[in-house]
Formats: sequence, structure tokens, C-alpha cells
Amino acid sequence: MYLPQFKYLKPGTVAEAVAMLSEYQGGAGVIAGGSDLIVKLKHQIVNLRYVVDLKGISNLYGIVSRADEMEIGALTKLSAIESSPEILNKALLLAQAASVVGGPQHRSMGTLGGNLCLDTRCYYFNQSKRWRQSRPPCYKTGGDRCYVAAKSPMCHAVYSGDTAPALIALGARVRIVGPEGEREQELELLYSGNGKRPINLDAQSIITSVIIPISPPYAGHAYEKYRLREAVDFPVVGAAVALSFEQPGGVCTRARIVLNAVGTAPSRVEEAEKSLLGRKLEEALEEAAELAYQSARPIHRMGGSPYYKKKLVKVLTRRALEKAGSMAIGNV
Amino acid sequence: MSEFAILGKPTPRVDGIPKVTGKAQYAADLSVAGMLYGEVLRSPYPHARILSIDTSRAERLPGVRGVITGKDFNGFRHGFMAHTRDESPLAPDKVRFIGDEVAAVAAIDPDIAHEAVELIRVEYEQLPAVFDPEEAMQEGAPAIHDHVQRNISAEMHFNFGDVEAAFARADHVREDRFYSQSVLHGFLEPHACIAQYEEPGKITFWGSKQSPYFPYRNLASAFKVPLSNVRVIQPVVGGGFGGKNDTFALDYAAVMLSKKTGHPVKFVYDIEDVLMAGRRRHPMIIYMKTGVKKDGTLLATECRVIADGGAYTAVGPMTIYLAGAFLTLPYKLPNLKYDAWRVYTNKPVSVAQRGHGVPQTRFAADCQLDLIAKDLGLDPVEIRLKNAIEPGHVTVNKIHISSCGLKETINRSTEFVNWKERKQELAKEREKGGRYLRGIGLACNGFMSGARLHGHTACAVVVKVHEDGTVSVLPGATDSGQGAETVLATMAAEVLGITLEDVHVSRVDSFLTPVDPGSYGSRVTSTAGPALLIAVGKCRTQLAEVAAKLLDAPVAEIEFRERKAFVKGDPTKQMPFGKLCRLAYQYGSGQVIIGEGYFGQNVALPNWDTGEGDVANAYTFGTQVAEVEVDRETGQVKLKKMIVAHDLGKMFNPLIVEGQHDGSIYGGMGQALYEECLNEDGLTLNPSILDYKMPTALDMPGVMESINIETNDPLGPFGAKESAEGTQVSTVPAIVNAIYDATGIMFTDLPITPEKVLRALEQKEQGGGPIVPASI
Amino acid sequence: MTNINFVVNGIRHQLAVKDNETLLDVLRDRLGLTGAKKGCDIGECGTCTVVVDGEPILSCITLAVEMEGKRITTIEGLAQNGELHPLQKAFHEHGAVQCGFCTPGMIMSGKALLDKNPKPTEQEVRRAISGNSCRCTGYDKPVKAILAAAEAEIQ
Ligand SMILES: Cc1cc2nc3c(=O)[nH]c(=O)nc-3n(C[C@H](O)[C@H](O)[C@H](O)COP(=O)(O)OP(=O)(O)OC[C@H]3O[C@@H](n4cnc5c(N)ncnc54)[C@H](O)[C@@H]3O)c2cc1C
Ligand code: SF4
Ligand code: FES
Ligand code: FES
Repeated sequence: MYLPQFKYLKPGTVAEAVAMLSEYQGGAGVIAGGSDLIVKLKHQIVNLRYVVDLKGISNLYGIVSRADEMEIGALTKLSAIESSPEILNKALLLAQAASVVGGPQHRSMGTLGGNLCLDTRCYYFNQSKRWRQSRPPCYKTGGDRCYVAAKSPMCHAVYSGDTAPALIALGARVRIVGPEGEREQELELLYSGNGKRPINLDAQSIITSVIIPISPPYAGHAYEKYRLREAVDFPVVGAAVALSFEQPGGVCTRARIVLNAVGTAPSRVEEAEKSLLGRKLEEALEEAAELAYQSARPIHRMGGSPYYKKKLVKVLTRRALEKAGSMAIGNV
Repeated sequence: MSEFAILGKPTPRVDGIPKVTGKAQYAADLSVAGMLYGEVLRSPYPHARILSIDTSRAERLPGVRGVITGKDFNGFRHGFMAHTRDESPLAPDKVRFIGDEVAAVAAIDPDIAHEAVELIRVEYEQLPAVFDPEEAMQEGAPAIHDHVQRNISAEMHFNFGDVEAAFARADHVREDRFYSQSVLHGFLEPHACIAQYEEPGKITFWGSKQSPYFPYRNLASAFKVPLSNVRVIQPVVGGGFGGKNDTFALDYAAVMLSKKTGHPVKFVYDIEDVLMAGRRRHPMIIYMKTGVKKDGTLLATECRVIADGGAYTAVGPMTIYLAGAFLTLPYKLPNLKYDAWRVYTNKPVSVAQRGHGVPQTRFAADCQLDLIAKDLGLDPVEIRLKNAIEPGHVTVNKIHISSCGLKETINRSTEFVNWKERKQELAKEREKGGRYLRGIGLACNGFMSGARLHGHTACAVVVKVHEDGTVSVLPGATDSGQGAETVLATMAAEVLGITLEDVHVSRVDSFLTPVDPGSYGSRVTSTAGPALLIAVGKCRTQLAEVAAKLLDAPVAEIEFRERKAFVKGDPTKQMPFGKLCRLAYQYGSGQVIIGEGYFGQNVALPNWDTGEGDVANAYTFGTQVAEVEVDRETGQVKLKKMIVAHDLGKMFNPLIVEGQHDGSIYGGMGQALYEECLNEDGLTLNPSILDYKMPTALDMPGVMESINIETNDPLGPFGAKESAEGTQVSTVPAIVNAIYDATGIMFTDLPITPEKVLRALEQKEQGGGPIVPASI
Repeated sequence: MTNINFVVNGIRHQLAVKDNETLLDVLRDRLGLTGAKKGCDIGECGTCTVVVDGEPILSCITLAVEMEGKRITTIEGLAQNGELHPLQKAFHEHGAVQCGFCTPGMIMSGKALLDKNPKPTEQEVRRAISGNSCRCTGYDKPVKAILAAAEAEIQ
């Protein structure tokens, strides 16, 4: 398939990378594993004059453990994450999520940073240029309509990267370096909820690492990904859950429930989270799942009707809560 | 010890080593000195008149060597039969589906070709389009082809016996509607070819074709050159399943551009070309009315089919013929009325696909049989045994059955799973509740072993014995992955008592290999096989004559085995095969040892108007038992086990036969549960491997068992029949019936997506009926 | 154009590649290694799988310029001194090959697996080839072949 021309740049440091991105403003983009970017370039849904490869920047790799948190370099491969003893031990949820991304080849190419920066997806968007030319462009490709929701004034493309919901559930933060220097922010804030421009990151900045607070004792978590095939499939719906308890079998002290692929961003269900606090899981579980169900507003297409996806939200939330609960009990 | 040295043993394939080492050359792997690269321009509209095409900007792009449009083909049209030639290499005046080809370019590299295609300006006048076949049949629907009324591309009407009288007599009659969706062949190798045109009118063509003599004929007509000027050379083919028979735009365009530029031209389609604009299985709406006696005996079926043909006719008439003809197999059916319409729509073209037309109607019939069994309180196995065809049966539409192991396949497959006990066990388990509903189902098939269409239908083979004791087999038939080369090599080796390594099977080269109708309809073993046996038999006779002289024994006493010629009963008189060959050449009359053979079907061709007559020399039969697991909460269905029992006449090679069954299970499971071309106003929404959803290795059942039953067909080579497509016929209904057992719901609309299942389960809980009629 | 140095099947190459050339195109068109196949060319089917520094990757969505300093193994690099690799032998002998179009990619995924995990379970094998589509075999025989190759390599 045709891959338009661009110039390949390989900075050796983060500063150099940011400088390049600033210099070629708008025309430059970063490549990490490339498992998403190259497809988008071939489909010509992004057009770049410069491709800035981060793989030459050595301090973007690796996993560092500190007393109360763990920091993972943005270029760390998903295959490394799913098998890292460190992560399996301290952030199993992330390993679980990484292990269900695409197929083995996508995981050995794809990086954590690339996965977090995944664009939203849509049948009418993730297509070749030729395919898209059979119809006028939609909002996401610069047009004035949406094919999924005809009356909608905006784009509803679906966020479906797998690691973000898991990391949000764990309360992760990201480190970002841009022309203004370095900053750290809640990962949750990376997602704008705007289907057209879902990642809150300007074109001159890069994510350098992800910081995950170490879960307190009596914590449990789970990521439930539902898809038609057991591999090479984005989620139809996903639910990531992280819970902490006062003591094994005790009341819930912290809860995060993050839904995936039901909207333009990975989304926390705060009412459901609140409903669990101060209660024992078995007493609160159904209600939390029901609240998740009620809050979800999935759109048509991409794996099923809103009706069906809402049902899945409930089932998956319940399953994830159950698994997280039993993990917490085992996790003394 | 078996009477055969190779036959029946799990011998590795003759084409295995080049394929595992990456040496096998597929069309896209080839290059020819000086070649250019081509690309086609496709229509973005489902239905539009072409007002003008401006190729000047494309022509001016540096590196572009040629641009062609439909006009270059001077009105040439192709099609399966004389009156169905409705397709042009490139659309000259009107486009009829999104992806219809309108122009093509040749350039010095693929990127330039792509950029040039984007520079072609086509002015269209969009026309109203129609996508639903039932709508397309209405008066006043947009006319897709001017020469036909109501968009009927083909129709078939069969009437055998008296269905009305039979329904009147029946104890029970039921009528159901089924829908079989649009699915792709799913081969991973996109179409590719290289063509070289040399004056005066010589064409050399390398193309990924499962039936290379289709382009041989089509290219000769399109370019008005004698057939003998067309040399079609077949590379290794990366899967066909019925989708690599026809001659496509790239094939014609490559030749035309080569003619225009004086260079060889190579085309390699993107997978999107295949998935968005390529051929696919006919979707069918099937109305099925069946009458039975109280004891389950089938009395009559009235079947109405509306087949969504897409924009052109292609092989479509054959498809709806077969879809009707096989309503009388594998169960005895004394009365049949069949009415089928193949309707044009503004969508990609529907053609043959593994099982060719038969899986669609048999899905309907075999699932309806389970509904009938339930209505009558009969066990699904019982009702099948009651109606199963037996050897010697002649169907009401005059299909003559010789060998038939159907009952044995039913018995063996159901015994394998302990049908009765297992069914009860699963029913009890369901009562207990829990996340999963598990169930078991079966379905049977009857299929043609060696389709015979019309026109040229015989296969021929030439066998050449070399001086060093090796043998070349030159068949007209082809291997697109199914193992045909190995099967032919096995027969040759078996007859001459040599090993597979001694036999080289050539791929088609129309200068050298004999002409052949094509490798579709399970023809190779069944039709090329006997041709090979005749050819190799002639070689054997010549060699036996030489050996008789050299070993001083009567010709009739000469035997060949273990790479030696023997005199029967006298082990001292023997000679290495290689030596015999060498001596035959050097000391004999100088005669070259060559044999040729052909095998046609000696019986009359079927009557296309009435639907009467045989469609093959022999028929295979089989039964499949499926076990499924349905997730009550998500509606997801997983196939857990699939048992195939198949009457293949004679087992040639278990590795190949099991592989064929596995492939049919895979395709059928995909069709039942996963795959569908989603079409919205003519546009395929999921033209990618990611979105089309062919199952992965993790989705396959852990248990796939093949039970093969030998019935030694009198006409089959060594008694063999097909083992490639029959299994495709019963996979879908076996799965659907298993889901019926698990859920009590008969899903009549394919594919059975989790959403459909969940909704139906909910509906059932609220007291809905047993059938989910509409698609979601 | 960018100059790159890399090792393919043990042979060192220095090559000027276009920045927008994929590794798959360079292998097939520049180095004549047509064993890796172009099924989809957008990272979905696995027919282009090759092993880079021990990891199975999709060469159709990998830029050739990214290969500076890398060691690449393709299907052509498996057989040594005319001896088939145990995986190749097992695919051949277990009937795991039909049309063969998916075979090179599938074998390379198997190779990456066995190099890391010499004794995989059936489920691990299925997972390892879950990124390789195959229309012909239903995966049963390829799975058996990889298990058999693992067995053979241990002995
Ligand atoms: C067939 C197929 C199936 C897939 N299935 C899944 C799936 O199930 N789940 C899933 O989550 N993903 C899936 N993917 C998408 C993709 O493979 C993964 O998300 C992968 O992790 C992306 O990482 P990468 O390093 O390859 O990203 P790249 O392609 O390199 O980059 C992706 C995007 O992120 C930007 N980016 C990358 N790194 C940074 C950084 N450090 N800072 C700022 N921006 C950055 C890039 O500019 C680009 O826009 C699939 C892809 C394919 C082709
Ligand atoms: S959701 Fe609507 S606007 Fe957004 S990509 Fe899809 S069709 Fe376009
Ligand atoms: S060709 Fe690379 S994944 Fe399909
Ligand atoms: S053997 Fe044909 S695709 Fe796998």
C-alpha cells in the first residue's frame, strides 16, 4: 500500500526531539513502535512531512521502582510490560491490559506511550484515503457531518486503547516534556473526550514516562476486555477496576472503575465508584454494575448497538469487580 | 500391511518444502526484466454514468508509461455463458458498484502508478442505486443493466413430483425464512499477475489463478488472438476457495498496458481491493416450506431463493442451479419445487465459494429439519437416519447415487460423542444454570465429487517418464493449496511403484499442460485423478513391455514396487526402476515413454431448464457434530468441538484430508459466528482483516476430529471422491443446530453475532417465540 | 534516502533506503527475500512477520530506516547448511501447510516463541500465532507442528 513520502529524523535526546517537533510545527509527528502510526500514514488519515523516531532516546526505556511508585519509560514495549516480573508483581492490572492488545507482533512492536496516545477509532475514519473518498468527509477528517450519529454536531469516534483504562484505574500520572519543559499530570487528563482530537497533547510535546502509585495492601484489580475474537481485536467494551479494602473481606476504601470503548475517552464511572466506598463488595457489587450500566452512553456501530454495549458494560463491570475482589482477598 | 505404498498414509505434501523455506514463488514474488507496475482506478459510487475521463494529468506524470480506460477494450465483455456476458474489463460507460474498475495505469514504480491513478479525473452522473435484492426485483427499481427486467440476472425453476399434493397429504408442514450473509473467500494472497504482450499478438501471463484456463480463454477473446498465442503460467497460488477463478480487471489491464507500452506489466492488488471490491459468496434469502409425515419422513419441499448477485452475473446461474439441485441430497425427498432468482444489486459480485451455492440452501434445510424434529418430538439423529439416502438411490431430480456412506457417517460421528448421553448431560447442566449454556447439534451433507458444468468438462493429464526413473506429471488441473499436486503425485507413484520424491507435478503452463476447465467444484482428485491414471497406466504398459523383454517374462507378470520392476512370483527377476527407464530409452526402439489420458463425464449434462440430471459422477456424504458454549451474559458463542465424519470413497492422505476438513470447519465457523461483509449503501464498512473478523488460532475449537469412511466409489480413482467442500456444507447448520440445542432458539439469520444471541435470550425469557426472525 | 547497516540472516548489509520504505518492501524488492509475504500491508494478517532482535514484528508496518544496527531473521534464514529448521520440518511433516501463504509468517512467530519458551503449552502456542491469519488450515495442524518442533528441539 502506498506510503506517502516523509523525512525520517532520529533525535538522541528528549530535548532534541522536542526541538525538532517545534521546528516543524504541525508537519512533524513522533513514531514509537509505529504499529499505529504507519497504518495511519498508509491510510493517509495523518499526513506528516517529518517522522521523529523516539527509539534512539535511551532514557525513555526501562522500569524504575521506588518506595511508593513505579515509573515506566514511554518506549517500553507492551511485550516487556506483560512479562515484567516487576509489573506483574506491583501493577498486575497494567500487565493484564498490555497482554490483550492486538496480537503478539503488535505487543512486541507497540510501546506504552504509543498505546496511551492511540487516536479514537471509527469505521468511517480508519479506512484508506480511497475508501473515504466515496463519501464527503466527516468531522474527524475535516468535514461537516458524522456518519455514526447523523444529527450529531460532533465526532463520536471511540477511544479503545487498552492500557489507558487500566492505568487510570491505578491512578497513574504521565510525565510530559514540551517546549515549556517538563510537567507531570494525571493520566486521566490526557483524554479530552473530543472524538476528533482525543489526546490532550500539543504536537511539540512527548510523553516520557508513566508513574504508577503502588497499591496499598488488600488491593485488587482486573481488566475485562470483551471482543469478538481472542486476539487482534480492539475491545467492543472494556472495564478496568481497581479496589482497595480496609482488610481482607472488609469494606472498600478506594475504588476506581474505568470503562473502555464506550465513548470518546476512557471514562471513570464516579457514581459507581462512590457507591462502593465504605461497603463490602458483595453488598455493593450489583449496584455498582448497574450504575456503570446507567452511566454508559455508547454509540452505534463498532461492535454492536448501544443497547448491547450497555449490557456488556454491566456484565464486564460486575466480572471485573468480582475478580478484583477475589484478588484482594488473596493479596494479603 | 496395506496394499498401497503411499496411498492412505500421512505423507508430507510434495510442495511442502518450498513453502516452509519461503522459496515458493507466488505471483507477487515474480519479476520480469523491464516490467512496469500497474494500478487500477475504482469507482467511488455505487451506480453512476461515466460522462468523461480525463487521463491527461496522469499521462504527464513523469514515470507513467501508459493509461487505459474501458474504451480501450472496444466493447469486449466477458461472462460465464454467452447470454450472461455483462462484465467489461474496465467499465466503459457505467459503474455499478463501489470499486468497479474504470481505468488503469502502468508506471516505472508502484508509487508513481498510485499517484497517477489519483490524477485521473472522472466525471460521473450519479444514478439511483439499489442494494437490497428484494427491492431490486420490484418494478420501478433502478435498472442496473439495461438488457434485463427487474434486475433479474438469472433464474431457475424446478418442479419435481407434486409438492401441493404432498403438502396436502403431510401430517406437518412448516415454513421458515433463512438468511445466509455475504462472506468473503478469505484467502490471504491478494490477486496478482504479470503480463507480457509481444507483437504479433503473443500473450504471456503469470497470474494467481486457481483455474488458469479461464484467463487463457478470456484473454484470447479480449485481445482477439488465437488461443495458442496465450501462454498462461501458474505460479504458486495462495488460496482460492472459488475466488480466483474469474479473470479480473487487473488481468486484462496488465495485458492491455503491456500491449500499449511494450513492457511487461505487474499488478498486485491491495487486500482492500479484495475485501472491498472483490468477489464473495452469494447472500441468499431462503424461504423453505417442508412437509413431513408424523414419523419424520420428508414428503416435499418448496424453496424460494432470492440471491443477491451484486453488479454482474459471473458464474451466478450455476450457483442458483446448485443451490436448488442439492435440495434433494443428502435426504430422500420425493417432491421438490424450487424457484430462484439471482438479482443484480449495486454491490460487489457474488460468485462461487467453497461449497458453491450449496451451503446456503443446505443451512436452511438442515436447520429446518431440527425444527421439524422438535415439532414432532423426534431426535435430530433419528430424523436424519430415517431420511438418509442410501447407495443406489436416484433423487427426484435424477441425481444417481452410487457409493454412499451417509448412514455410517451419522452413526460414527454421533457414537464418537455418545450423542444421547451427551445431549442429556448437557441438558441437565443447563438446568443447573450458570454462565454457560452448552449444546450439541448435527447436520449432514451430500456434495458433488467433480462438478460438471457445460462446455468443456473433461480433465486431461500427460505423464512423462524420464531416463533417470523420475516422472513428470503435467495436469491441466491446479493446486491452490488444497493438496492436488500431492494427490496426483501419489497416484502416479503408486502405479509405478516409485516414491513421491520421484514425481514432479508441473503447475499449469498452457503451452505445455493440457487444457482443463478449472479447479473448482471438487474436481481434481475425482476428474483429473482418473485422467492421470489413464496416462500413467499407458507409461506403465510401455515400461512393462520393456521390462518383460529384459526380464524374460510375460508382460502381464511385471509388477512395479519399491522403485523396482519385478516378475510376479519370482523375486530373483527384478530390476531397479531407474535402470529400466534408462534401458527403455537407450536400448529399446528409441520410444519416449509418455502417456496421456483424459477423463470426462460420460453421462449426459444436466438439463439447465428443468434442473434434472447429474451434476457429477459421484457424490460424497458426511455428517458433522458440533458442540457449542453460549455465554448467557454476553451472548458470545464458542465452538468447542467439531466432529467430521466423511464418506470420501478412499483415503488418499490423512494429512491432506484432515487439513481440508479443518479448513472447511474454519470457514464455516467464520460464516456461522464471526464474518460478514457489512455493507452500507454499497460501501463495505469492514474491508480489512482487522474488521472482517476471521477467527484466530485462539478462537478455534480444541477438538476437531476427522472420521473418514471409505466406500470405494466405482468411478473414483482408487475409489476416491472429494473431500474438500462437502464439509463446508454441513459446518454452518451443525453449529446453528447446536446453538438451538443450547438455547432453544433457532437462529435463522447469519452470522449469529453475540448481540443477536443476547437479544434472543432476553426475548425468550420474556416469553418470545423459538425463532429470531429479523437481523439486527 | 538514508544509509542503514543491518544484518539479515547473518549477512551484513549496507543499504540506502527511502525514508518511507517499509522493511517488508526492502526485504522483498531490494534483497530478493520474498519469503515474507504481503497479505494486508497494514499490520493485520501476520504474513509479513519476521524476527528482529528476537521479537516477532510486522515488517509491513516497520520502516526500513528503523533497522539501523538490527539483526533480522526471515524464513530464508532458518534452514542451516541445507538442513531444515525443526519448525520447518514439523510444518512439513504435520501437514501444517496448505496454500503456504501464511506459512513463513507463522513459522517466524513460532520461532520467536520457541526461542523464548522452548516448552510451550498448546495455549501458549495458540497465543503465539494468534496474530497470524490462516484461511486454509484452521490452525490445528500448525499448532501441532509447533508443539512437535518444541518436542524435537528438546531431544
Ligand atoms: C491489527 C491491529 C490491532 C491492534 N489491536 C489493538 C488492541 O487490541 N488494543 C490496543 O490498545 N491497541 C491495538 N492496536 C494499536 C497499536 O498496535 C497499539 O496501541 C500500540 O501500543 C501502539 O504503540 P506504538 O508504539 O506502536 O505506537 P505508534 O504507532 O508509534 O504511535 C501511536 C501514536 O502515538 C504517538 N506517540 C507514540 N509515542 C508517543 C510518545 N511517547 N509521546 C507522544 N506521542 C506518542 C504517535 O505519534 C502516534 O500518533 C492494534 C493495531 C493493529 C494494527
Ligand atoms: S464518529 Fe462520526 S465524525 Fe467521528 S470519525 Fe466516525 S463518522 Fe467521522
Ligand atoms: S502484511 Fe504485514 S501484517 Fe499483513
Ligand atoms: S496455509 Fe493458506 S493461509 Fe495458511
